[in-house]
Amino acid sequence: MTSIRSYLAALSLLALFAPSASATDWKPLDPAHLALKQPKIDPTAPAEALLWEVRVADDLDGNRMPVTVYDHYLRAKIFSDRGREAFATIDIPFERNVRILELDARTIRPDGTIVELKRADIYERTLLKAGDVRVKVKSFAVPALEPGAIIEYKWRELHLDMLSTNLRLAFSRDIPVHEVRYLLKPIDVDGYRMVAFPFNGNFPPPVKQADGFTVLALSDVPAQVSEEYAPPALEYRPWVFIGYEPTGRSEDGREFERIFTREVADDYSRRSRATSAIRTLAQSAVAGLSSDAEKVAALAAAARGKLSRTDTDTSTTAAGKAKAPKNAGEALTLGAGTGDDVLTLFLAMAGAVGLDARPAATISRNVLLPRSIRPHPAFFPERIAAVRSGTTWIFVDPANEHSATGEVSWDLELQRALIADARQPTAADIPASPATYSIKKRVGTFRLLEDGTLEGEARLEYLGHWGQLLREQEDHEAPADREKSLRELMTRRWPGAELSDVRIENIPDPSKPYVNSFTVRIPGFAQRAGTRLILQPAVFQKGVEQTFTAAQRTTQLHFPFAFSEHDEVTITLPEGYAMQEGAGPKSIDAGAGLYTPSLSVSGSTLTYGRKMSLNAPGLYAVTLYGPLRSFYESVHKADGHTVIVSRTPAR
Amino acid sequence: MKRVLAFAVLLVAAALPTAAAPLPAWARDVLAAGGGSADAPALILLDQVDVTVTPDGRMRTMRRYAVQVRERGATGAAMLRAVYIPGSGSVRQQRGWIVRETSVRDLNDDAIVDAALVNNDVYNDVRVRAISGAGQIVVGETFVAELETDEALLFSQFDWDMQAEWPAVTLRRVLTLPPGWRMTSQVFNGEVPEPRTQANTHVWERTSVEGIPDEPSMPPYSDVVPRVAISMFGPDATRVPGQFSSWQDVARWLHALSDAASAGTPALAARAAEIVKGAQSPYDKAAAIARYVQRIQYISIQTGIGRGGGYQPRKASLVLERGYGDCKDKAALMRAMLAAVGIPSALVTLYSGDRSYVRDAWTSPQQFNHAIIAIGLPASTERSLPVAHHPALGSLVFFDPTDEFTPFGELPLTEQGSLALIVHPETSALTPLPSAPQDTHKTDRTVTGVILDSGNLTATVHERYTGHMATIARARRGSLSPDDYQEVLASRLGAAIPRVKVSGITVPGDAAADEELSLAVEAPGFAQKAGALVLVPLPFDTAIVPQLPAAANRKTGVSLEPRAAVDSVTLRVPAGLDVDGPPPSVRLESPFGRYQLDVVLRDGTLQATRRLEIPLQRLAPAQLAEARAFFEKIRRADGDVVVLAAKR
Repeated sequence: MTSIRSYLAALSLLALFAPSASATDWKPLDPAHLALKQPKIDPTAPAEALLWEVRVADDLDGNRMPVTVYDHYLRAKIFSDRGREAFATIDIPFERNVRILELDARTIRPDGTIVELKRADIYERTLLKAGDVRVKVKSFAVPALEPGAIIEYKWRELHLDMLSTNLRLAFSRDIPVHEVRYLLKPIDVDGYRMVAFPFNGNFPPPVKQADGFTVLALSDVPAQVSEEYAPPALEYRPWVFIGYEPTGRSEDGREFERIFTREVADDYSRRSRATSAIRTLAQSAVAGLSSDAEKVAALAAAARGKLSRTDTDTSTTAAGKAKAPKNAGEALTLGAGTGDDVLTLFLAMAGAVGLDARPAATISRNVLLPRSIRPHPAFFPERIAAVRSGTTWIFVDPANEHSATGEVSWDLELQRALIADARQPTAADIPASPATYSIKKRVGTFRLLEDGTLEGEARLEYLGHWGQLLREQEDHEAPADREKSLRELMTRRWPGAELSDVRIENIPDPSKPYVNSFTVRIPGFAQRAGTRLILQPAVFQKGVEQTFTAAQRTTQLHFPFAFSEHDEVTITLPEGYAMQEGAGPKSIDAGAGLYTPSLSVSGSTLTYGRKMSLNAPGLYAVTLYGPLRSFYESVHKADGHTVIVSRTPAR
Repeated sequence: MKRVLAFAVLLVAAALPTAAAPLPAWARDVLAAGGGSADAPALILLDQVDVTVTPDGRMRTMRRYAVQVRERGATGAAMLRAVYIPGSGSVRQQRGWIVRETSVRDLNDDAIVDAALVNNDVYNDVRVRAISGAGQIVVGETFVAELETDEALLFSQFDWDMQAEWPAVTLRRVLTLPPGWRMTSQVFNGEVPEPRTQANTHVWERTSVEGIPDEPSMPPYSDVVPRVAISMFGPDATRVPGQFSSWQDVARWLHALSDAASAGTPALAARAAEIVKGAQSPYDKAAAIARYVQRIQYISIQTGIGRGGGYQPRKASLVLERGYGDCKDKAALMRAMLAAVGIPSALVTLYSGDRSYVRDAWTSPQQFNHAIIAIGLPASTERSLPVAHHPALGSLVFFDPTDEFTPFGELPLTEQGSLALIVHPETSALTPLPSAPQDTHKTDRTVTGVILDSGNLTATVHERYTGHMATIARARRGSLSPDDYQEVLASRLGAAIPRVKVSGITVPGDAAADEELSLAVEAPGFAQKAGALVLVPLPFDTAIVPQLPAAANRKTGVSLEPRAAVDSVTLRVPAGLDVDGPPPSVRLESPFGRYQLDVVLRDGTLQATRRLEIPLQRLAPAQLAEARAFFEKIRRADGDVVVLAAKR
């Protein structure tokens, strides 16, 4: 019935929101834009947006239900065939409760003649219908598009049953933009006001117009870039957060924290009361344990183990999917629940054994870094637990399905958490794990043949965050697909390599290291030079491309977590062969990064070791790109170090 | 208001849940029979398709499917889908169950997905309906489903795959024709037992069928999966469309559907005249028009597919006005423009993506998915153009205006050698499209530089590509941003020259059929010092050497595209050095290719020449080990390092 109601509401809205534009009210065209021969912002840009404007108006429909009206307008200049290709088709996807109206487009040819998009050339179809999900799209091909032309198109979107709250308004695109404008008109409701937080741009002060719209604008915005090891996009692309909040709420961060943490505390305290079953479970879990850290880990493992997850792709049963538990007791009885139910059960269990355990709110470092956090609930969407231990807090995420004992994932480390408290707000930084927590351990036992073939066994272990990341990536894949990915990865590095007896172990059991092991034969691994063989002892680094090759860097660098790598390689040389004397690669100490190789020979066995660690995760300034690139280049060169192996003269 | 009410009624009807249904008898029988012992993540117990044709040319299809999921990663097998075209077809019903031992769960409406089959067209009629248990099934359970569709025949022809990704206990296909009808069938890509026939019902069946895994470098599925192609003939051809007993029938049908789209208009003629201005010969005129149409934006809008719309180009005048079109639209536009300047041409249809897909034995337009053009040009003595002869059109040059990176006079590699139909009333047979000589697809790389005392390399790399290699290089340049292009080039070179830095790229020009570029490069630590020795790698284009998959347990063969490379390396080495030991010289030849490497050091300059030729070939699984060994030898030779030492 919702659909009928929203359909009728949409009909009423057609009258309520009179068309904003007709075919004749395209914005005036600056002749200089038509004459423009080269891009203004980036000389290599295939196209540039001349104007990108979005009007956002919140209101109530005829049934007093909320609705947001978006009026989109884009005008872009095409400079090359790549630009033509990029704008050849326009797709406007939309979901249930969204209506697309007044879609118009036209092309202004380089000679100034105009080709209008015909209504018959706009197509609408349903891309996907599944359960309650319905995704439709309106599409059209842009007529008469060619380099030198200007394309412009506009449309209106009605979003039924929703307001423009907690939105991230993008101010950059994949092409440069001369001028971006958002015009905002919040709904006038007693007790609420709209707040806006701008990020990463020199935004002029907002201007309120006579028609009630407030204008947020930005000029000469470069195209979005993507670089390796970049911070989350919201940390360097310009954007504005908009959201509603109670009028009385102070903009003072401390006051926000007081109210917000109290709300979170209230929310969980109702649901995390211990029942006798919870108390029994908790006491059994911590029996014999003395330290807080041990108890926390045991309780997290117990809570995690008792509930079958209904909200992840690792769920193994359909049981409980139909019923959502109201509290920790119900979840335990049902034996199933969401990640939030696991957290609630953990809180109840921890409380039952006398620990001061609280829900804590934070945000993923995949989304935002602490410097960009603002006093608004939308900036604290994640929930974990904080357990007081003396004067510090132990942070734990019992819902982390890739950690057996609830260790927080890398993206929550280094973030600020607000710890729920009914009386007084508490905040603390979630500590970063050390480089010794996340280890890539590679062990290889190989034999080198006279023709340069290397063969033997390899075992790759991934601990800590590495293990969690790989489990997250591969959990849903079929074993054959995992094996295929591993084979592809290794043969990219070692062309012609043959892998057999491939094993990928412990994916479902996060208490054990994630392990890949295989037998390998790599023809031509050692290069021949007459009677000699040139061998790279850093077997696992052979064929690995250097990190950071670009000469220039635009964005800051962001290293997710501290880690270390340990390689142990033994290579038995062909009979009668010995390594010629020569210096091995040297250690490199770059402060945050440390690289220590070792090379020795005993009889016909060559032993190579390699340790590398990155000890200081987080953000690095662009000015540090040069030294970092230099470090990685030195490491790459040292990894590529070769030794000469030749037949020893007969005695 | 009536329309609003009707809409509301429809919504209510759509919201009704599917009625719970008992497990059908066929499913109980299949489950009782149990599965095989195949060691696979999923096992199809039954995959049966029953097609019943009615006298008025409608086709009702019932699919029955039961699959046992044996590993968690194979839950995707728990899905049954059918493609349909609204307007000419519909899904009549779909039902699904998940069975674990004696317990049976009904799949509800949430398990039904209806989606556009093609997402990247601006519009396309064709949809897919699926019932999926993938999100609910767990290891050890069996997914059972039925799906029934009804459609009006566009052609009285269709084909059936007789193998699937997963192994199957039974694959069964059943065709029931109305009285008075007959059918012919052909089997492609393997063996399928002759059908059992009783009255007008024909049954093809395979049992204990292996799965076809997705293996790297495998040929297209269309060339691997055994299929049965069927043509049906009713007593009254006027009532039942799409009955073809010869290629001439097909050519005439397509001609009737498409020819009018190439009608000329004054605007078309004017634009054509403008484009060929200055061109003297018919060849130059055709080439100028080809370049123009090639740059028309490719856009696919597929409407009326159930009524043959997929074979019917838009009017050329409309394509010109809009500035976009799909393959057949571009071909129609080009035909109209060529006609305006007095050059005859014809539409050509073929299958893009598998050059051996189209079979002469099955006279069906269903085999085609692409359109190009044949141009009536006299055989040229100046240019070597791949041509064919047609009884009515004479000497023909083929061109694909959809491929914006293959120049006039050449054909995309995937189309070369494939069977195509020239859409002309006088056509009576398929025409093999011409193939360029194998060594046409070549990369010439010249590296000229200096190795400094430090071991650093400063060099110029010049590359010249021809044939398909030029198409790839042109596409790379045309589709990437300048920064990405430079990064890709550096990455390619990085395989031969570690830590290479590309400081300048020069691309001579756009118009030439060959693609050329020059790169200024530097590479720190290119030559390594090892005691008194200096080790110099040879910077060859090693990426061109095929990486064949392992032979063990391989089910499908490997397709290798033709390629050739000539690498010439000239490097000035630090003074006072000489080659320590004999420089490498290698000759390798086998049915899989030819390789030659020669290195000399003369007057302080290291000169290396390497030649590689690999023909177009299809390797059977049994040949893989031998072919791998051959390419391993090439890789080893490519990896040979030249050792320099102080002159004695």
